Amino acid sequence: MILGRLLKGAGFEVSEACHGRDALAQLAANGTPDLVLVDWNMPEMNGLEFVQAVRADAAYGAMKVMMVTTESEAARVEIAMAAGANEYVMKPFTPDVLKVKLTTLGLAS
Amino acid sequence: MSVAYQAAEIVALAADRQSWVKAAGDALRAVADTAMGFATTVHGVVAAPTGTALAAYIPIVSPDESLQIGIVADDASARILVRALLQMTPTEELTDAVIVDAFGEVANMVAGMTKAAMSAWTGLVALGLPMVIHGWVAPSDGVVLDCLSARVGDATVTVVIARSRRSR
Repeated sequence: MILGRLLKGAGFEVSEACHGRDALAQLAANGTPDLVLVDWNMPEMNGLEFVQAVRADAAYGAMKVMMVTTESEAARVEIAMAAGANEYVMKPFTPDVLKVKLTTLGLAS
Repeated sequence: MSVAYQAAEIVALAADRQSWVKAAGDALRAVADTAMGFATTVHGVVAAPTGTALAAYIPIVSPDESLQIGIVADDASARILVRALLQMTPTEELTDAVIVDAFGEVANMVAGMTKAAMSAWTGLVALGLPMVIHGWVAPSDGVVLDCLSARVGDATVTVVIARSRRSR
């Protein structure tokens, strides 16, 4: 919700999903977005499982994935990045941090 | 020898409990500052809150610990926190669904930072999903409760650390 408001304010078109399985369904129905931001802790399918699922599907190879989560241990970051996440943002974050990450991914200037 | 061992165990338990309280207070300060732009004054450990309030709890589990980190606030304070977190204007509509979702996110961030600070003490731990309720849930005899009163901006907040007595 916080991310959605920030991204809409920055001019992005945003769709929200309740959990990883819902996000996969939206991808299948609506096509591939430029970026998916995903929390680690979600019901049904967690963020890591979502990253693993999309990285196993070549159709989503160009799609950027950013983990945005309270899971801040270095081991968690390594696991997420090894699974195929492109960026990792630890909560709490400031809007400036999000902007830097978007710029790094080539989605903001 | 036996008595000395027991005394050492008691000291270790006390230090551990204080560490959870300190970690939760530090986490609240960091979340309020970073995510809401609020200064926080932690008043210290108080009695459990009573009456109608909004409460959000996050479970933290590990092989040695089983606890819940909660954030409790009255309606006005919850609205202050949510508006700040979502950077809402004073006139923007705030629905119950948004309050519940965002208040749960506040608890999620506080619990996450508390877990990170305590992970060196407790080993690998995992966060659960938020549970947001209206009203105060009284703990049973098997639960050790620490409540931390704090002022976050203009909001009054209680951080609750509820631990099972079976946990170390």
